[in-house]
Amino acid sequence: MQTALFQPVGGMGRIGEAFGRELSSLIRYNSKVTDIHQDEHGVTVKFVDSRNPGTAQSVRADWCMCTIPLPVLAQIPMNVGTALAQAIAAVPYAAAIKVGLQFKRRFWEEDEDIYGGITYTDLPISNIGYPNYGFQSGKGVLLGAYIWGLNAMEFTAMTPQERVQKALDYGSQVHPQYRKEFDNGVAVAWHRVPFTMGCMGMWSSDSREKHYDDLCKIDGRIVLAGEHASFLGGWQEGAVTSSLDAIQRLHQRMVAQGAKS
Amino acid sequence: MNRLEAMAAHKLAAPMWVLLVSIAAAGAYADDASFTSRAGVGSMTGAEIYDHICSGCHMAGGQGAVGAGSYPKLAANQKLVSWEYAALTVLNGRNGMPPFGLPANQTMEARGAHLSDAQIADVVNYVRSHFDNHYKTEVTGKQVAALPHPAAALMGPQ
Repeated sequence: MQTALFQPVGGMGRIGEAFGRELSSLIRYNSKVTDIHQDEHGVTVKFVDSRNPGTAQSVRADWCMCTIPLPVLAQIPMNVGTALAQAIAAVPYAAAIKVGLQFKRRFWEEDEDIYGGITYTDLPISNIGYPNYGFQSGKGVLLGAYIWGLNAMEFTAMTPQERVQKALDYGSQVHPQYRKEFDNGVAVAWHRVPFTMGCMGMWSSDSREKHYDDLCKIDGRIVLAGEHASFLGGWQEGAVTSSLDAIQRLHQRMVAQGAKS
Repeated sequence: MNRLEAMAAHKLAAPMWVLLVSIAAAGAYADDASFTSRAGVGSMTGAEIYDHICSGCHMAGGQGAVGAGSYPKLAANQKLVSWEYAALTVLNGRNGMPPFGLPANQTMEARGAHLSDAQIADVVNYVRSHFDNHYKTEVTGKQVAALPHPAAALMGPQ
């Protein structure tokens, strides 16, 4: 008996896409932040259009809630106190790899009666995940590798084509059908994702003790939010609850400073 | 299933039927030079460490990379004049870079990799004498051992 678990139709990415859809008029895409500067009255953020980086632009607001992942934020000039600056630099990000493999037919269902679930291996691919949806519908995509640690770093050091090839090579030890049925593949190495430079923040008991409160505290007119500013690291839930908490604290601060609630 | 695997399973969401297959024994990929087993980490040389680990971000030839932030170019990098700076960075990490000086028995939890002091010396020597860097001093494991190491294991999702 398993606890009922649900996933969004189309995958977890659909949650972010839904936020994007609902907030589309408020979001400016392709904006690479180059400088964050606060004074007594507000915050000015400088940025460039990442497709046309020549032209510097800026926006100004009363407050700034910043959700930029820490490896990126650590490199952006920002006038905050030493405690927050040290906290931002104190959180290493984990290496992780996922490889998606599309096959011409769902041989795991047709030949092996596997409908969803995971195969754990001691191979460099770590595990294989089977889709929990679209049963018996022709083509299918397997999670052909989901890796942390040293082997994830080694996969990161390869080209995307090599990663897909290695996932095929090792996965075919489990499912010989791989060779004949392979259609297409895609690989993600989180350290190579330009806007995160890593999968998620890795805290230690020691760094939590030293830096966590400083990371979450409002510094003048700037506050951080994201999975890195939560105890649910690496999860969408941590990112959302962190933002709700930060918004609540910002609101209290504003009201305390005389804004109308 | 250990805790890490349990978390990974949860993250994949909604396993309706879970299949457990035990594949071969340790060393099943010993003949593939692309990957290092947990037991094999300790024998990696400086050059292997660079190719297998560092180059994922710092790229081939130490050329670095630029996205929203950047991975420093190690080629002809003047900061490498200080071997201590390089060794401390590998030991403790820097700005999101994972630390490699965690105790070996804590790397599972940290989702990282452990390198010995001698290996850290080796990779520092490798980088300082390649990619258009020409520093002559050879660092030893003993010198690296004298530098501050990370205090405690890193923890992922709880």
